Amino acid sequence: MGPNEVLSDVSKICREVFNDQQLEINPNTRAKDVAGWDSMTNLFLIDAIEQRFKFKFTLDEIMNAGNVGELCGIVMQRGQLS
Amino acid sequence: MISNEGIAKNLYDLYDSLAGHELVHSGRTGGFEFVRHEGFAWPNMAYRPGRSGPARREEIRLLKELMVSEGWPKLVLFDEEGMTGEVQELLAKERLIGATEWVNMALPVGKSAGHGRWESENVGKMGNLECRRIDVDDPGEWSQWASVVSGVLFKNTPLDPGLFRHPAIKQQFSLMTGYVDGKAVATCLLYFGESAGLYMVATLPEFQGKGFGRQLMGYSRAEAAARGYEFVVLHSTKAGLNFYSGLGFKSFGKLFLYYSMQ
Repeated sequence: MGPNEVLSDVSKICREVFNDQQLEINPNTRAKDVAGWDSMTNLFLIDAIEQRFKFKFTLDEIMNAGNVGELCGIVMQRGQLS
Repeated sequence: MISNEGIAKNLYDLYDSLAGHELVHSGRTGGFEFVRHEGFAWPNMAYRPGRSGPARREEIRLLKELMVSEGWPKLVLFDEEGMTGEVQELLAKERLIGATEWVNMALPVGKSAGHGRWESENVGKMGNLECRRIDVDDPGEWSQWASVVSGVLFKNTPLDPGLFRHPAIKQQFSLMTGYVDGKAVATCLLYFGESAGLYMVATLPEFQGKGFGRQLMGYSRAEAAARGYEFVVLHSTKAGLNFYSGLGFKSFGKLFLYYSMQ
């Protein structure tokens, strides 16, 4: 699985978590760009990504990831991509 | 008088009142109590009343064990008194992550509260918003109320009419709806505890910023006063603080909501 496939899967998770099937996600997408992306739904998103890619974010990563690209980068490093 | 502890207690009492209901799973581990209505958005919460004191390591470990093994509750609520530095460290170790904070707020509504900003509060129809306490047994009124609450607050996860229709529970709540041209646009749940508590305050996004929430708050405040309450209390998100402060609510302490990561 390469970066595009990871972004595609993370985008699907975002649409599910933010309850918006039309949501367009790219690596630069940040919380302020998405309606309903707040501190609570951010944890729902992180939880769903962890379950999909079977790894755990560190507390620092949860608090400091700035955009979808950074989340995908962490997935590429530590997630199960098969 | 009202206190921070009293405002928090109103919410714990609300959950306690649900715990005995046949549709609601409930239990206790250490000083934590929890309620959940399986398959529905609400209630689904662990909470730790301040009377239990700060949580100990073993209590937090057992709660997390339950959260992982059962898959619920995913959220746990702490009041300010229980949120020590040591507790925060223990929560982080168990991957219980701070999700949000709520500010405990209260507004006097009794005889000494005065009037002024709520001039029209005793009138059901205010401006073009018609405020009404709904009949939960009316499928149309229920479905409109539930649709607003579920859509705005719970990502469209359904609420169970059976829970709200239960006679014992019906006497503890009033469900309020504000209508524009027959369409439900704003809601709240007024809980009759030691204080009157406002919960499930929601306005459809396209109707926000038009004063409808304020009008429904005024209607609910009037019902609380008519029932003899001295205070209405609520727990505001950061986003709601200015709105409620503008209505005259005063801030007290905080509640902390933590989310259990897998």
